Amino acid sequence: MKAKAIEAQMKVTCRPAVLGQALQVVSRAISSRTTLPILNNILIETTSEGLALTATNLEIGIRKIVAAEVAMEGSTTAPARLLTDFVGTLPDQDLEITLDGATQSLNLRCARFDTHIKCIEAEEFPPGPRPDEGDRLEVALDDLVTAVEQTQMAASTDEARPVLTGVLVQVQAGGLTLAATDGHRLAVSKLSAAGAGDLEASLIVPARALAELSRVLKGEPGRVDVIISKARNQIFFKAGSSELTSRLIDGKYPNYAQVIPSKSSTKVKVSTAELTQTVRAVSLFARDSANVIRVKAQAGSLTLSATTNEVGDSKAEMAADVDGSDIQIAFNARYVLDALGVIGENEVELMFDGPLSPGMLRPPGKEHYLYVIMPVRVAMS
Amino acid sequence: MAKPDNWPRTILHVDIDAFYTSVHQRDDPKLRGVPVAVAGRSKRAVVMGASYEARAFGVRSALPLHEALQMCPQLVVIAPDGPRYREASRLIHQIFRRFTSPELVEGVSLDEAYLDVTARTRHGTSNAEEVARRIKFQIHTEVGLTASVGAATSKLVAKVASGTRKPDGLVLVPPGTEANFLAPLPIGAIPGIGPKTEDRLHSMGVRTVGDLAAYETQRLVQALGVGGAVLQRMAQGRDRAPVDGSKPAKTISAETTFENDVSDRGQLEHALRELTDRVVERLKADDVRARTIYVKLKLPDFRLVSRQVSRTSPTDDVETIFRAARSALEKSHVESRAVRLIGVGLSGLEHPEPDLQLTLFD
Repeated sequence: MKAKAIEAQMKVTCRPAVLGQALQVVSRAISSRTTLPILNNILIETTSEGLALTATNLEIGIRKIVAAEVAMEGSTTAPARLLTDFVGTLPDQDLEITLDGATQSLNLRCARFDTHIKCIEAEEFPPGPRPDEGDRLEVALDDLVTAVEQTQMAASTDEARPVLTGVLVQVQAGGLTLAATDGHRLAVSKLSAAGAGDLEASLIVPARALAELSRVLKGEPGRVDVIISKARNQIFFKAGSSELTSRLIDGKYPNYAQVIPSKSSTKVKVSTAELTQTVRAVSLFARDSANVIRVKAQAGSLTLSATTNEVGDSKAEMAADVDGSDIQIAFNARYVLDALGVIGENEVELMFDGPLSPGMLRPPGKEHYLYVIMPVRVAMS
Repeated sequence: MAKPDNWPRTILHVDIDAFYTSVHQRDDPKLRGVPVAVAGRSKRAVVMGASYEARAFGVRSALPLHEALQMCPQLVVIAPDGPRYREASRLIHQIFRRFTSPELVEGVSLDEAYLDVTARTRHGTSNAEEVARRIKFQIHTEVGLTASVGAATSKLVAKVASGTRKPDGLVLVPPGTEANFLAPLPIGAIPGIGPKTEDRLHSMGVRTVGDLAAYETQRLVQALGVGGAVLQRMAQGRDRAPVDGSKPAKTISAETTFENDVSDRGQLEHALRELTDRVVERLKADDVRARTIYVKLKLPDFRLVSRQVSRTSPTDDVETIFRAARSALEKSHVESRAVRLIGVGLSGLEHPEPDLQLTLFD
């Protein structure tokens, strides 16, 4: 690659709209503050499939290949922000990109524009790990995106406990289990995988990386290759011409299985849409410290209420299938909404086992998803 | 640079001006410049705080709300907002702790505290006046409230001083000038001298603090009991009580001295009811709950009788507290014995437990 880059007078033609979109996605891997200036640049390389764009903050790497006509091979690195912003303004006409290898000046010609951007040699760019060897398995893109969406919001943002800022990805028995918790709630989602064979692995993937996954893989064909590096320190997701790589978090994930309730004294089945709308409305009155909504289940109905001294209060009663004993319990409304937003079913089942024990939300009759929330112990009044 | 002064002790008494109403006026421009009172909504509500605009109409703390509204029909009445007062108080105490160590800040109530800043003023970097000014400035700029500060060598003189030039006052009483400072003030300025004692002293020809300081001690004790000697020491500016920030939680109390001594139980209960309403409103405004309810009676011979009732869980319910106060009264009052003063107090004060998010692990 080195020799090629020095000699290259790279020359490619592509469409600004396509390039611009890819630049935006790839730029997501760039940290706003970095101690390594080269990491503010995007690596641009010609390949047999088109123009490859790569960015990394050394934790996450994103690579996309955009369709381009390559007239002359070559590579360089261009400042991400400037290139992305500039390409984003161009009219949708052919964009001709030419690199002067000696000066690292990147010439962009499109419609009435003739622009030069000062670049840095490709050799300066840190070589990222490549997904060529390691354990491979394959999952459906939609399944993976759903499972990530259903779990990553439950991960912690508190850097004090790094393992909780990740999503635990367990590979076993031909499937993947994703679990995330911030200590107050826990989300667990399962999906099947092909080619996993008898592979068993437990990896902690930064939630920040997974949060980019759906954006990076959007528009790609339906299957995703998941590759776990031999050293068990990197994970790769690759679909079509898009790739996300992430460093793994080192550490011991808490034994989440032990906090999943195994019994319940009250089961409630209720419309997801109606519950979502109700929690959203009532929680406007839950502005106090813990964002508390009170939940009361009794035969045939579920009542939600919230009060904030200076603001007022709100109460709503909705019809629900209630099985078991009456209960009053309180939760942080945001935790409830987070789950309802991703459960993806018309109905949701709520399970309680007393006001101070964890509550659980799950799609009725299905095993692939569950969400556990610890209640709030409310002051007596 | 401020010149250090060399006071034996430098004690500040900081009193936020019209605290409750000022907090509301700070947060709502519509309330500025108009008479505002903080009071509950019950039939027997009393004024808990009045803005200076309301005070111009004669509206005062402890005045029944309906009377206040007669005096000042345009009075804007605001419901108490405990958490907001507590937050303002917390910020003010943060400021205090920049000037002295926490155990030398003695909070009397949400809006009033003593600070011992001797260490700050003695070792060459500052003096009482500068510390007082900086505290006032920081409270004003950071919390948006004005404070009146008295600086003296004792808590007593500092407190009297802060009360002489409100609002936004700063009064310094350097060592050696205490007696001169106190002498011209009316005797009512001394904490602990209520209307009845005041009348009594007036009838003895004692009108100013100076009169009291110079009065013959024996005759004072004959007239007022041992308390007379205590009052005289105070009038002389002699107070060695330390600023004690480690004091257990304060109490909230109210008392009333009868025009004529009362022996009828029904009448005492009636007075108790009014006092209970007053302390409970204050309790709620401060967003605390009480474990212990006590009743004190002063007999015609100035003897004090006090009984208390403690509960296992703290409460702010007015009926619960009244029932406890009534049973304390039963324990302390012998049928048909005359009573000169009745008071009710709440102690063992606690903030209600906040909501607590439980955790999955550990």
